[in-house]
This record gives sequence, structure tokens and C-alpha cells, in this order.
Amino acid sequence: MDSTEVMDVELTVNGKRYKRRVEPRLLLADYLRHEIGLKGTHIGCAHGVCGACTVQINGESARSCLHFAVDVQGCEIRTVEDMATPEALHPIQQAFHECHALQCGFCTPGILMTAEEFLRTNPDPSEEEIRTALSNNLCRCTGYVNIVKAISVAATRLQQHKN
Amino acid sequence: MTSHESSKFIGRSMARREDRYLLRGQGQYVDDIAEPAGTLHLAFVMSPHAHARIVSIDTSEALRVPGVVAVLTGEDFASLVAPIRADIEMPTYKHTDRDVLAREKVRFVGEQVAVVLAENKYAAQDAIELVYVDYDILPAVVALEDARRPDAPLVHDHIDNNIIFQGEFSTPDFAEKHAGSKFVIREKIRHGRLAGVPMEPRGCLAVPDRGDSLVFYTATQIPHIVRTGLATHLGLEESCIRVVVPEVGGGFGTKAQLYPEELIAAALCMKHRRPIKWVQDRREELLTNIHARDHLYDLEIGFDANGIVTSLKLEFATNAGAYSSYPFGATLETTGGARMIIGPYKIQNYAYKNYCLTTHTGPAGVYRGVAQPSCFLAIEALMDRIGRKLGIDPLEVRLRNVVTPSDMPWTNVLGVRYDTGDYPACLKRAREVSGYDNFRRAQRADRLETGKYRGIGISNMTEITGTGAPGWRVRGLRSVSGVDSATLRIDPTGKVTVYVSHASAGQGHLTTFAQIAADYLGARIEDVRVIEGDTGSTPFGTGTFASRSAVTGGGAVICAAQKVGDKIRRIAADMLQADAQDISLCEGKAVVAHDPGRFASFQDVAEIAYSIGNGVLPEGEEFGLEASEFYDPPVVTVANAVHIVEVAVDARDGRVSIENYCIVHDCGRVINPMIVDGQIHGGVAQGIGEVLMEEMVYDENGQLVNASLLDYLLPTAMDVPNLQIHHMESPTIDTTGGFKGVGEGGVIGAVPAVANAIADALSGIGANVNSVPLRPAHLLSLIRNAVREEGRAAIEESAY
Amino acid sequence: MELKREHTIQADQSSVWLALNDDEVLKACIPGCESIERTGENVLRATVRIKVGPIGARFSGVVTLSDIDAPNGYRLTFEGQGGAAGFAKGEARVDLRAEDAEVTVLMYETRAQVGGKLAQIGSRLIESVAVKISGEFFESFSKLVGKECVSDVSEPRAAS
Repeated sequence: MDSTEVMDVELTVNGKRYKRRVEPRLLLADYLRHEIGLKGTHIGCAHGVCGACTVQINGESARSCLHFAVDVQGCEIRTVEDMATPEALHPIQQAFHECHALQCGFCTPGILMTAEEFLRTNPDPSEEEIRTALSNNLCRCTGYVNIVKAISVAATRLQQHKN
Repeated sequence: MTSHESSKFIGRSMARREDRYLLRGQGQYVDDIAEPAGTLHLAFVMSPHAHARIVSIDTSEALRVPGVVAVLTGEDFASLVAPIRADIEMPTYKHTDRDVLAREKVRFVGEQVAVVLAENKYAAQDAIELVYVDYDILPAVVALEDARRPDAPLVHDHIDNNIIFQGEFSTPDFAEKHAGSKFVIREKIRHGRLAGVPMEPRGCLAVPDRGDSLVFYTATQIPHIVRTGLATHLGLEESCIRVVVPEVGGGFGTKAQLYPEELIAAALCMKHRRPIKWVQDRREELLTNIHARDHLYDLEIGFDANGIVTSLKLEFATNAGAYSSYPFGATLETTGGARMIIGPYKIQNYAYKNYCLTTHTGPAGVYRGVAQPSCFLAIEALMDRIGRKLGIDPLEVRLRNVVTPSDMPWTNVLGVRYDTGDYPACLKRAREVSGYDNFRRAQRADRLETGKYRGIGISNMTEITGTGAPGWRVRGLRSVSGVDSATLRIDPTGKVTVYVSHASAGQGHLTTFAQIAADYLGARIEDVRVIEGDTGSTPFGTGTFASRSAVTGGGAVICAAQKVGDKIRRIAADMLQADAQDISLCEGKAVVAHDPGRFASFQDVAEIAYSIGNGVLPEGEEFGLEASEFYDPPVVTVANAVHIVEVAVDARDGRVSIENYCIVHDCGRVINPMIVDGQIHGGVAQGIGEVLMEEMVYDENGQLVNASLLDYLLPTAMDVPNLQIHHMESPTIDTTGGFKGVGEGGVIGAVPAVANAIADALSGIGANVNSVPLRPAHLLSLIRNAVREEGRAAIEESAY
Repeated sequence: MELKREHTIQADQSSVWLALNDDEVLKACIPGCESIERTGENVLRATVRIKVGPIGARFSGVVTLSDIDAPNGYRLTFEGQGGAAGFAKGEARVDLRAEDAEVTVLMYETRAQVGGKLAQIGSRLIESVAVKISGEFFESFSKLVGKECVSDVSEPRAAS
């Protein structure tokens, strides 16, 4: 296949449908960042280790640097931009803010996507469970201490909000 | 505000303003900046050989890739960009000239030899695979230990024995004093090579601007040094270059260099007047961003029967890689390790020889701590050994040797001045909060408990922070200025903008500098905006690295705030018919102290200052309401900390878990405790990585064999425990504001503490721990070599 | 990377030796081999497609035979360029020993180094890939040479 061949790739991202003509080898991360302009998803390693590019595909966290956009046609993609409303941060984001769980912010969107899925499926986690859930997201600035704390705080608040 | 006691914002853990947009994914890093129409993307062809002559480069197939505009080699840049040369003035120092693209020779795996310009980054990546370079492979020298061998290949023809620099120092009659030491321990401590690995790889975007000028977006910690570097290497005027620092995803020193790619992007932009963009991938990041450490300490420590150190002798070698980096040159670690190793101790007889060596490996540079993590690894290991030899508790050994508050300010035998700090109190507090004594009492001689060797380690470190001009000159750095500055401006609506010469990469400057400005000006903090990282609007400075921004930036902000505050008082006094010294500033108002009903808002004062409305400037006063102040701290200020760490080493697989971690840290006057703690957390995590898992590995042919995150392991959330941090505040008497730096303290304290804990854990079986990293395979082999059959049975028994 | 292995082949030593020097046999047995061309008396040019983890590349290489001691063994040096993937070079010593009239033991010892991208992100896979490739080679080789031998059990072999 000629690498400059293009095709139409339709994706639903944050509830909106997009159709773009792209090369089949275009990474999902690049589709999000350059075709749609959602730049919150960051590329830290392009080989699936650091987790900065984590998005959600059909509700499950996934590395957008390891998927081609064409492979996820028909799927619901969610990015960090979908978490807050114009008026307020998502409770997890708010907890991150209060607990100083971010410094440079580069890994943060990926961690938020991982954390959101984790708390949805595990609403009352122990500290060890939080650390395990985070173990595939690298952060070089914070040492994780405040991130773990923030997720714990967020878990409590999300529970309270439910009750 | 003039006194520390009346701070409203300094000392408070205020949540950060940066978070608002970072959390929403709206932070704009260099790769996020909207690409202007016509942007060309760069991709680099890197050498796969550590040392080779370039025979020919065939770019014809690459040029045929659709979207490729040009493929250039070293010859194309010879007339555009001067070779990179750090401006170092030190006796014996041999400079290196680095072509931005290798011309005759390559000297390390990853050195760039060709660059592709293409309309999109995918085409650029396609094309670099089709550039064929014919090399004549030459023998390489890779290991630090081999650099000085008589038969070692030379990395640079003019650098004999691959010695970039060598130095020495000795206190009077050292040999005699050393010979007279009652006991002597000899040890070699080896620190492996590291990489900084910020989460964001480097990149830049060069955009042509009005006329012949250039806007240069780059992920850097040193915007003004980059501007000067671009100007001098490209033959441009600084006034046509504007360096803009976008959001930076971590620096840690790796982004405090001017790199060849930046010069190439800027040169091509100026030549073709088209926007040029480049962002590296992780493999390039690991290959070409500055490496660090790769040190060897050859030590002899002399002491008496009470554990008092009577002499210290050091031969210290660093591996600076193939080229000196810009602007710091190759020797900051070489001089730093030799100078800082004395730490908080009163060592009166000291001699060192230090060597900065070049090899066919990636260029080294300044990464968090810059030799301090390794020199404290060394001296703190020796302190423990003294304790073990004499049967004195290692914490007690340290207490007997430290400088005390009554000695302060203390100048050590190298002329390094320790301004304030209470080292004994810090040690005692750490001992208390960590439960050290209980741990020791319960500790078994063989250290083995439930299948693990358990140990406790101490580090007692001092950190040089806030280095200004005098500090850089002493280290031979002519063109690293040392000053920083702030322009504080009140606009006609009474709002405050503070332009600071620093460039944050996650440290929260937009919040902390606002806290300082608001306190010293008496403004409402929500009315203060901090702007950094734009040479078009921020005044000249040195940049953010080496734990200096609180000191130099803070000092400059305070000076500017005081000047503007004085002017506000004078104008307000005139408006309110009062004396200027009776006016106090708070909450954005100039208030008559004994009659608070009489006040003028900052806006009222600003309107007078800008001639808006009917007000009149007082006699002798000039228009405007701003001040630009430069600040050069007169001396370095010394922060300190004690870390106490408990570890468990699994006797069967060599894995280490950290069971407890306590820190007592003194960084002088704390601006934002939450941010300070965050810096310590991050530094400790890097220190844990440094000791347990991180190492850049070159094979004997100079091939980097772990240029991916699968093989260069970074600590995860499962590797860094919760940290107990206690603060002491010994404000410095020497700097404006009383702040000390803290950016590197965490890593400097963590490396020796974790290493010592492991050494302590294995001391019961007589294993000698004298290197980092200490990966499971290495620890397991230490254990196996030390433990005979009976010992192995005991391990199995104790595990159950 | 160092590899030292032994393979037992159901064929007499001289058949094995001939097959080892037969370009067509080598081309058929080397996994991913696209072409082999003898450019000199003891020099072969080959192109081989190899995948090491995520890196797939076409290697163009030169193999030089030396220390030829028919039918007992030879030394070979190889150097392969994989374009952007990097390069590999090394040497091997191949020795044959007749176990009996119909069985030959082939011993080889290889030392290789890789460089470039292959080394940077594939280092930890190199040895296992080399073991796999040589395993596949010897399986094919044994079948090919051994087959000839098996079919010759019932018929005497024509002198070649």
C-alpha cells in the first residue's frame, strides 16, 4: 500500500462526530491533536509506556499512540477535554488542583483519563489499589504522592455525591 | 510590607493558578502551538556508530519522498551556523567545537548527520529512513575507566588523553595530616550514567516575524541564554530574536542547554523565511538529550577513634561524553562533586584531584542535583562505614562532624560559605520523627527478617542554591550571567503585572512569584499576574535551574515591588495630604495608617501616574508606575536536609521496597509549602529511580542499548512511597527575602539515603555496596556471594 | 551477543559440507532470505528480511568465508546493513564432526554485535531472535540435507 494513500476516517470524539481524510497509518493521537485540534492528549513516548496519551475508547482507557485512527472507527472516544464543563472542573480535576497533584501538567491528561475509568469501576479503592491502577502512567515531576492523595479524595467526594 | 512576620501570602499553600488550564488539557506545549501555514517539519538522521568518519551521504532517494522539500547535511550549515562552543574560562580546560550537523566525523551514537525538511512530520520520518550514509568505522572509547588509557582512541585530536579538564586542590600539609590519621578507609564509589527524561520531549518552532525578525518558540529553561546563543551562532542581532517559552513539560536541567536542533531550526527559518518545526521522539530524547552522572569517586577518609574525620582524599573522574554542552560546558559536575563533597561537615584537611573526561558517548550536562547526588552518595557512604568500623551509630558519627549554628556563617576549606542552618537540630529531629532509635534497637545483626534484609539509611546533605554571578565565575562559566530580574508594572486600571526573567517547567512560578509580589506590594493577589518566558517582554536573566528561582527571581520581585510600593506611597501621600511613611499598602489600597478611612486605591494612584483624569503628579515625581530591578545574590545560600529511609531487600530476588521515608528539610523561608513539598516529592522519586533502576547503558562499542522506556526504567506509583516531610526554616541572612532554593534538594537527599539503607540492610552479611544503580540482579549476586549454604537455608526459613 | 550451539543432522559429513556451501540450499533455509549472490570465490552477498520486536528491516549483507578446511569447517564473517534499522556484524566458526557414517554434528559459535536502532530498542530481544533464526535455519537445513540422505538410504547416491 502506498504510504500516501488516504481514506475517510470517521470518529466520535467527546460526543461529536468527525470525518477526516487521512493516511491509514495516522495515529489516533495525531488524529485527535491535529485533525480535530484537541491537544490535551500528549505524546510522551509513542511506544505505549508512559501513558501520557491515554484516552478512553468505549469507556476503557487506551494508549492513543498505539492505535491507528482507522482502527477505532465507530468507537466512542473520550479525551480529557470532555471532563470539565465551562463552569466547573470535574471532581477528579478539582481534587488534583487542591492536592497539588500536577506540576508541569504534561502527564496529567493521561492520568486523569486513567483515574476516571478506575474510579468508575472501583469507587472505593485502597491506597494500594490506586497505586497499582496508576502504575502504567509515568510522572516525572510529582513523585505520585499527591496524585494518589487526590484520587483518594476524589473517590470520597464522588461517593458522597452519589449518596 | 517590609518584615517577614506580616506575610499574608508568603508561607501559605495557595493552590496554583496554572492548574486551571493544565487540568483541562489547555496547556500549550511547543507541539501544541498552532502551526502557521507553510510550516516545514524537521527530522534528523542520526549516526548508528560511536566513532566514524563520514565518507558520503546519499540523499537522492529521500528527496523523492512526496512532501520532502530538502535534505541537508553538515556542509550546508557550515556557513550558516558557527560550531557550538561553551564559553568557559578555566586553566587546563580544552574546548570542543561541535558542528550542528556532523561534518567529517561522528563522535557518539545519535549524533545528527543530516536533516530532512518536509511538509509534514510523517513524510519527514519516511525520508530519514532513506538517507544512506557511508561510514568508515573507527575504534571508540566508551567507559570512563578507559578514557585515559594510553592506547585509548582520542575523541578530539587536540584533547590529549581525553582529558577536557583537570584540577587539584590541597589544604596545607595534607599528606602529613592524612598520614597522621589514626584510621583510614579506602573506597571507590561508582555512579552510573543517567538521563533526565522529562515527560515532554524537546522541540521548537521558529516563525519568521515582521521584517527580518524571528519568534522562536522552544521548550527551554534558559530563554535569554538561548537568545544570546542564537544570535552569536547565527550572526544575528539579539534584537531581532524573540524567544518564547510555551508550557514546558518538565526540564530538570535537560532543557537548560542550547542544542544543535534549535540552531538548525532557527537558521533555516531565517534563511528561507518559512516556519520550521521540530519535535523529537522518545528514542531521540534518550539518545541526544544531555546525560548526567557517570562518576567515579576514589576516596580515602581518615578519622580518629571518636569517629571525627581528620582527613579526606579524593580522586574524582566524570564522563562528559563527546562534546561540551552549551552554556555550562563539561565541568560543572567535575568541579561540583569535588567542591560539594565536604557537605555539612567540618573537614579541615582535604585534597582532591578531579578529571573531566571525554568519550564516544552522549554529551553530559546539568541534570537535577548536578554532582551533588553523587558526591553525597560518596561522603554519606563513608560516614556509615566509619560508624560500622568503630561500632558507633552512623547518625551519631554525623552529629560529631557537622558544622553547628555557633560556627555559622562557616567557610569551609574550599572557600564555600555556609550562611545559615542548624544541622544538628535537623539530624535530631529526623532521628525523632523517623523512629530511628527504635529501628536500630529492634534491628538484628544479620538484618534478616521474614525473608528480607532490612536496613535504615541516613543522608545529611547541604545544597548550594541561588547561585548568582560570583558563583558561576568561580566555576569558570563566563557567559552564564547569574543575575535575574523582574519588572513590576501597575497598569492604569490598578492591576499588577510582574514580568520575571525565569521560565517555569512545572514549579508553579505564576503562583509563587505572585505571592511574593502581592505581599511586598500590598496588592490583592487576584490582581497580580506573573508573566515569564518571553524575551520580548521579560527582562534579562539567567534562567531556571540549579535551585535558584526563589532566590534570584524572588529577590528581584521583592526589589521591584519595594520600589513601586515606595512610589505609590509618595503619590498617595500627596493625594491624601499625609506623610509617605504613614501610608501603608494593603489589599490594593494606599491607606493612611492611623486613619484608614482615608485611602487611595492602586487605580487612583495609577491614574495620576499615567496622567489619566484630572490628578496631578507630585512635584519631582515622574510618570509611570513600574520598576525593573536586577538581582544578583552576593553569595550562594546553602539549604540542607536529612533523609532517613527504611528499606527491605528481598533475599530471594533482590528487589527493594521502601518501607518508611522521613525528611526534615530546611530551605529557608518557605513561599508556598505545598509547592515546596511537591518539589521534594518529585526529587525523591528521581532519587529512588537513580538508586534502584535508572541507568543509561552503552555497550563496549558505544551502542546505547536502552533507548526506550521499556528498557530505561522510571519509577512508577508503586515505587515511591508516601513521604513524611517536616520543615525547618533557617532564613538566609544573605539574600533579599530570606529564601533558599529547593528544586534539587529531594534528589540530593534521596540518593545517599536509599543507597545507605540498602548498604545497611546488607551489612549484616558483609556485602559491600559501593555503586548505583542497585538493581535486583546486582543485589542478588551480592547476597549470593556473601551468603554460604547455611545462610541460604536461614533465608528460606525466615521467609515463612 | 554470543551463541554457541550444536545440531545433529541425519546425513554424512560430506553431504552436509556440500550443502553448507550450496547457495541454493542456504537461500532456501535462511529465514527471510530474499537473495544470495556469490560475488567472489568466498564472498556472498545476501538480502534477508528480519524482524526484531517492533523493528522489521531488510538487511543487505556480505558474508566472507575464510579458514576453509573442507569438509570440516570454516570461519565466516558477516556484516549487514539494515538501513534505518541499524546494522549487525560478527563472525562465526562452523565445525563438522562425523558422529557416524550417516550422522554429522554441526557445531557453531557466533559472536555478533548490533548497532543503531536495533541495539537501541531491540537489545534485549537480539539473543532470542538469533536463537530463533538459527533454530529455524537448522530445522530447514536438517530436513533438506537429511531428506536427501533418507531418500538415499534405499538408493546409492550418485557421485557428484
